[in-house]
Amino acid sequence: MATMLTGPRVEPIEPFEPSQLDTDDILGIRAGVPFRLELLREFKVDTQLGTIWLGTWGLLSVAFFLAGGLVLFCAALDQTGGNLIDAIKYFANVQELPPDGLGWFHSPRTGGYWELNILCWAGAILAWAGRCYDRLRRHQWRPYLLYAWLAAISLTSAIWIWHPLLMGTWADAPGLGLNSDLDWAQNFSVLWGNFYYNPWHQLAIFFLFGSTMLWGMHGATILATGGEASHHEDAEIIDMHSGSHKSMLFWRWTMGFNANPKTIHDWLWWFGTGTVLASVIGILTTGTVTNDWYVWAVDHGTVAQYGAITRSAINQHPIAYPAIIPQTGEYVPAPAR
Amino acid sequence: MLEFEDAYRKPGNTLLGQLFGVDAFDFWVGRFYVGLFGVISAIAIVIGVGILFIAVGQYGDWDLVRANIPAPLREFGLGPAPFLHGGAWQAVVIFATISFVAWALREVEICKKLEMGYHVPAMYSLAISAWVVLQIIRPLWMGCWCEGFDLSYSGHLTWVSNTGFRYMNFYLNPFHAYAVLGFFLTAMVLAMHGSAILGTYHTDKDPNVEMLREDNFWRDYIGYSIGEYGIHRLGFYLAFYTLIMSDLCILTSGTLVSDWVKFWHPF
Amino acid sequence: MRQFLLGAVVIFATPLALGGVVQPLVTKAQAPIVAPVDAQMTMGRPAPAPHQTYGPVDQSAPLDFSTQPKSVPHTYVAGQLYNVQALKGLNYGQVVGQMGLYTQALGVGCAYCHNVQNFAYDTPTKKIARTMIVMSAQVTSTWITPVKHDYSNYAVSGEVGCVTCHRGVAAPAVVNNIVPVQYLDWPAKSTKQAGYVVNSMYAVATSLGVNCIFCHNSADFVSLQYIPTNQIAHRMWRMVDDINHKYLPPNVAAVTCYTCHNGNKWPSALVTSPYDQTPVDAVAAHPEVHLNPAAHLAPGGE
Repeated sequence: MATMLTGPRVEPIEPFEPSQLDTDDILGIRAGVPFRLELLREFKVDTQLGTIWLGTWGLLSVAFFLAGGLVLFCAALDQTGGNLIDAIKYFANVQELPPDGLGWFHSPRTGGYWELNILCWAGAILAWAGRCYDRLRRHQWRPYLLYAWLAAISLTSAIWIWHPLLMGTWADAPGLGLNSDLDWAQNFSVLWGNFYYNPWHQLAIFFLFGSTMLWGMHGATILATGGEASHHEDAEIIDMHSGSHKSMLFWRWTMGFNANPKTIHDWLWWFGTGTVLASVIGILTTGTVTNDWYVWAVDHGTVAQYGAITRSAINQHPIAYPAIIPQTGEYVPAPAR
Repeated sequence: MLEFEDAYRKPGNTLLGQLFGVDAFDFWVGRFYVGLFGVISAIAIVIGVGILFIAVGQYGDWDLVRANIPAPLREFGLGPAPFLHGGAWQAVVIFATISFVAWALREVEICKKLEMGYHVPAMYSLAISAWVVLQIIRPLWMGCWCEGFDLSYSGHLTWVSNTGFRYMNFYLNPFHAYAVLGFFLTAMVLAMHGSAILGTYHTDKDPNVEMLREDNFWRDYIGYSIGEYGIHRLGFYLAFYTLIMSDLCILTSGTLVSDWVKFWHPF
Repeated sequence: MRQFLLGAVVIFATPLALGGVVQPLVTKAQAPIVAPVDAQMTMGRPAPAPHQTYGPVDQSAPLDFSTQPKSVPHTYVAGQLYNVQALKGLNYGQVVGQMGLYTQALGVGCAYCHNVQNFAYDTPTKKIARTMIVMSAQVTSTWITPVKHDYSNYAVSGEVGCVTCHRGVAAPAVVNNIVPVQYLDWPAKSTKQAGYVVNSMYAVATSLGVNCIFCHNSADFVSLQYIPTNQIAHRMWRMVDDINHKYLPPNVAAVTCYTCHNGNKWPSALVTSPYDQTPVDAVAAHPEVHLNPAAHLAPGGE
């Protein structure tokens, strides 16, 4: 630890050209000794581990992340009665549930943990975006990665912040915890009329499965032509060689269409980011455009209807009371309590 | 034709050519390569789509959203079903599977012609495996063809929803969780790789400098740069992992486990 | 090729080891469920703590006839009927016969409800028993018979008797994990709220040994107009609410689906009638009653 932060500046194996953006950062240091892990050569990936840039943004992000983790750990201990072994064993069951309604400063067990954790991790995500912007500028990349990260942030904030604000209650946001997050996915869909029928969700799934398909296609294509250096994609964009020729011809002959070494990455980027952007719209239209996606889909002709829809169910009528017995038509009021 | 294509359009290197020395299907139609498996695939597609249209006509509902080819009813078990009660479904599934497998083999032939590795048909076969698991292997294991999904837009969507709830909370299926992790990682890594290339191409006359900039950025950002070849291995194996987990998640539901909530506290 | 296989093994083994195999072995006991602070999870009744028992009768307590009905004799004579209210119309032999069935169904002796010096003397347990006798007849006629009539393809032989809930013990086994009916308001006021309802639904499903699709088409969960099992479930829910509010003594745990159904689609301990509590083997009578006829309407339904 001491050498990392206070030791002499170690040169990485490949030289970085100097940059004002590096020296301007007060917490900026290129930390770590570049370490060669030869095992990775078996997997044909790069063997150098490190260095890493510890900048102000990065350290801020890590600090926020650890703070949030500490809150989660406290909640875990709280929920297992201070028993450390149980806290680790039942880690998946730890749940920080959001409070009902809006407002801050709830007591820990009725939503306080959740609020504090959210604030910490929101800070972490935003600081990481700052780090992304800083490093992209320093290395003079076009900011595609930043846009992708901002899209991801927009989805996370839509789920945890904007949608609950629109609905007027934090309780519509996921809790923090493995099982409670998974349960939220189920419950959110059940509450809002089954998310499979949300057209933005459908589009997002198309992009998600498409992303995996594209990785299968692109990864396989490059690996198949790797002997001809098709993986030197920057070089191939400037001047194509046989590897790229074969990649393009394979797809042209198979499906009649091909990209080129540059445009395939457009496809990749848009599918990856499209997943997130479509999801954002799907979340923000829930509860605002409609509160039952199945009914919406039937009304807009995107799904077959399986029997009659109980539209009254979405008009605040409790289903157990009062109810109409279909066969007799008799109206049964609630018994006096 | 692309400018360089002529040099690559060479006859030979096909299965029929190797078996019999002559291949009648070794030609291109426009930009599409035909080949024996292209013919088989095309025939299977035509027959399958034809059966599809006949069935929709017999069911009577041509509405694009409501038209549906339902899976056989439970009472027919693993046997053949009458055309309107699942037979159409069985026929379409058979021809679709034939066309998918023929497509994969056609891709193998194209790889051989271009002297490439077989990674693409390997990955495609894994994708076909998802279809085969869902429509053939799992119904066989469960003991009836009714377990396959209906062939239609609404039908398959509702099938997915109902199948999930049939096993209580499908999110708690560990293979499903790993598959979802795989999907999300794939999307993220895809965006990262796309950003890397789109961020650095044509920024310098020397592509080696561009590659260095890529490495340096990733080392600064996350402490590791997997490399130009490595990223494609990562993507390929992420897709591979995701598909394997998906196959497993549906294969174990209903057969080995029928309540994924109870799975986590079985005693 | 070797690294491919090595990679495949690693990819396979890691998730299996971490998730699919080890975790269920580790979580042998039910993991501690954190109770939501704002929901009483016992069908509208306060959670009992400690469980109130109403028997057996303290035989040494002095008899106080000023609190008793006029028909209770100061000197009990065996062979005669006194103070018969719920079993009016039965002769002595029949009443004693009923008593025998009750002791079997609840796994108790006479002294649990009666003062054995004076069988006519009203004890707290005897009063509860009267409510129970009336309840089993009324539940059958109000709720069960109409269901059998309206949904004859789901009907099984047998009716509700003491053993249906009590199953050989005085205090029926309970599973308190269903939210009260007022929390079943739909749509729920938040996703968190919806979670409580979904948990209740899971409890109902496991109490009956079925899955969600037995009563629901997940495309449209709340619609009940074309799914008979869902309609029956609505009536059952109102029945359970009715029982919990009208017939149960104070400070006992609530009745839930599990009390009668015990993990089966139909109650596992039915009797021929509330007055002839001979057990009925419902399964043998209707072995085919296990499919949800609405399944073909819902792709992916069982």
